[in-house]
Amino acid sequence: MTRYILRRVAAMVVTLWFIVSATFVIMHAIPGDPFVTEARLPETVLANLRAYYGTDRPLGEQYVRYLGGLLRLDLGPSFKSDTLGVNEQIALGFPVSAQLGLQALVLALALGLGLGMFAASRAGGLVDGFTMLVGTLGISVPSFVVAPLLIDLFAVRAGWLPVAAWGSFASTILPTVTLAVAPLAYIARLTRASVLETLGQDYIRTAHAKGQPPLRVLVHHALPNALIPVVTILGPITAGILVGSFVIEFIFGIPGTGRMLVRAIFERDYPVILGSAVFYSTLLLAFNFAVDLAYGVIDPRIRVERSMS
Amino acid sequence: MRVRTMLAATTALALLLSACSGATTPGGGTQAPAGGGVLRLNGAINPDSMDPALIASRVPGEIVTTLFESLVRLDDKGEPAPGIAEKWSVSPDGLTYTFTLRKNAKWTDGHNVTAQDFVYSYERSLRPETAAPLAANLYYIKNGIPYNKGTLKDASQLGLMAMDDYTLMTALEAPTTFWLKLTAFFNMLPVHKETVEGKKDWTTKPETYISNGPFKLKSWTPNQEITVVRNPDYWNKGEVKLDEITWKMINDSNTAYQSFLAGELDAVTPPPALTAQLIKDGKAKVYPAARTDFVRLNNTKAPFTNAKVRKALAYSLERTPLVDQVLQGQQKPGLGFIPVGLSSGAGEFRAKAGATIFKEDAAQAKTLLADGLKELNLTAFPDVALDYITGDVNKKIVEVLQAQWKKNLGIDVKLNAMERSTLIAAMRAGQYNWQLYSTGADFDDAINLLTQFQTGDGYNYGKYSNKQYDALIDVALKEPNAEKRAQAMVDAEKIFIVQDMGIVPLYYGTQTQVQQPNLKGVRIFTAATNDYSRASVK
Repeated sequence: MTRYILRRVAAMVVTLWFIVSATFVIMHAIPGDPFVTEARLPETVLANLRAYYGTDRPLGEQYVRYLGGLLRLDLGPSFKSDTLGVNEQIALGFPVSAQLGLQALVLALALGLGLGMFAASRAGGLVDGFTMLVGTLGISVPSFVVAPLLIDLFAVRAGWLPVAAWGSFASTILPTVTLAVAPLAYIARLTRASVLETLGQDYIRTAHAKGQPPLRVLVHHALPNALIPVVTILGPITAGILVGSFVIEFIFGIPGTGRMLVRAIFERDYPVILGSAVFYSTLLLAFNFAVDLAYGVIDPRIRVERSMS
Repeated sequence: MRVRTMLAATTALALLLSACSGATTPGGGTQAPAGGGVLRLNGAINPDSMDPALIASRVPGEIVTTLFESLVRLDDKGEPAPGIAEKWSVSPDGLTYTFTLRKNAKWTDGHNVTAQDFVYSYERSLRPETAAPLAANLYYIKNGIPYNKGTLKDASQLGLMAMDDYTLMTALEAPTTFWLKLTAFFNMLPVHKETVEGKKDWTTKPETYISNGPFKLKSWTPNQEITVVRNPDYWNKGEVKLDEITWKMINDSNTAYQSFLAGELDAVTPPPALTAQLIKDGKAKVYPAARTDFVRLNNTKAPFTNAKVRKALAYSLERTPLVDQVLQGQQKPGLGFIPVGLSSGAGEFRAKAGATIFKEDAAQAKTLLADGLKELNLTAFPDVALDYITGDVNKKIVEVLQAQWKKNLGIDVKLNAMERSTLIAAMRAGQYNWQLYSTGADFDDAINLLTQFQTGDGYNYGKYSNKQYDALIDVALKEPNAEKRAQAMVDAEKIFIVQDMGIVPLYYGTQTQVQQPNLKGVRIFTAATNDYSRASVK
């Protein structure tokens, strides 16, 4: 098992290095210079700025210096913000994005699993059809349509919730719901299909025959196996939530890392772009690794496989 | 039955978990008007800096205008009224301004505001190490240019002198009729030396943010909001009614507008798609904006090297349908370059030059185009794509231009959407043929926009060049007599547009705002930063 973990960690480091390098190359390949804006700075001032931030050095040297900074966990200064370096910006934005993402994930999981199981247990009926219709809509309607709709209904007309910004718990409700809609739909559909398939297995019939109550059969016998596909997509689902948060944060004016990244791209704030790439990649890689480890817990067959390799 | 119970339990669990993971972050947003006296605005994005010398954009400019006070402050009509300076006098040759400062103006740490503060602040803005993006506004000060470029190292050679603690003298390169108004501009606000010199983070905390204006910094929660609170030590506090002003940071204009509808904001710029209807319903206020939208032509690339072709492109457009039916923001057709509402130093420029200086004439345009192409040895209008910055409004504009040029000139113009920074990079490198662009005045004088087209000017991205034009602008930069100066600028515009048509002007812009009915006293200027310090919401 230890060897397995070590192998995975090594693979993660290599992947991370590759992502950083690819981002570095692509970033410098797009036209546009962070210091060349519409305002007219004299050449000497531009030269000073470039020297200060090191952008006048050859690209290879900038790359190596950046990697060196990464080893010290220093993501560098921001080219645009006078007062906040990249580490500070991420430190400010991440708790916000994490709260939003976690809330959405929990909501999507809980409701998605619940709806999926409910539909599967009532398979073929009206309830099942209706639940799946809602699921399809959830996947198809984009968040930038859902968001203004929810804002209009619940904030402007009803006045129950604030429109935007971040601060009180109430202000997190609409963004969380908007962000959870698509993952919820995916999870619901997948759970339904998976539970249905599992319910058709022989061992379920055995359980029923032994006189187990239907709920116990569902939760104790069927669900763990039905969960495997859901756990599989947890990685991409989280990625989707992370990326979906960019749009949500922008629309709702939420001070998270998603909004920070979008702005940095437009303004060519290279350190923030690179830093975000590093940060998000690390998160995703770590999360996927955790999911893989979780397999070992859910499915004993996989655990055995690993300890033998 | 059991599954239903389980579903209910799952849902309850989900909500419970969500509640547990939620935590209130400090600096929570306000949801309802806090009992009058608090003005809530939208700042859209987190300011990159709150240091007056380093600011280059509108919203941080608005914020520091409430926090600091310069020599003058613009009154309701946009005219300079006493600020830190009680009175001033100008030398007969128009080169020297002497300001007498009041003795009761204080910094928020208790020290008096002195003439040395202004000398220090302007020198700092011109210092090359400061890298002030808008240092060019201080080039009117004697020796400002060489000092900022680094060729002059001795700061005492700058045209700035504190004759004593309360007398400031500014010596200018040339007579500058708009100098007084310019000192109110946000990057000419004074800063407190002991707080600022050598320190990096003085702007981030209220305790270290020493200012001298109607308000002082209460809190800055990055990416969330900035709040300023009334300054009890402000010398003119009788004029200040608001208790606090908050700028939230909602990027999306639609969300900001919905915030306004829900009563969470007191004034916003409405989203472009809704502007026309709001104006029609009388819910939005429209102000002129000292901005001209135009098509920049690369005068070094064919066919734009030929004046007849350029004129053909300009005469063949129908600007009235563009502004009335497409833009619908009460913009005015641009049949000249300098926008309405901008001063010539001797009255409004357009009043002096004439509201329009050329005519739309499709028939003449067709002839001009044919002649121009023949002179260039071209059989048809070349395949040059019109660049524009991606966006709904820009897309509509270029599609209208495309349709009108097709209809009136019979040419097919391809359109090329570009991301903002990419277009600017191409513009600065001269790697474009023509592009949709706009230019706005930073201060209330036409010279602001006219210098951009002098040969060799840093902003002359279209490489327009005419020696007569250059000479007239040089006159305008040095002429002490306001009337003569205004006439030089009027003549320069005639050469630029009527004779050469160096660009294709489209329309003069406007700014729109929706305001809650109880909001009063907002100063929205044509060519200066909005001033909310005298507003009230009661």
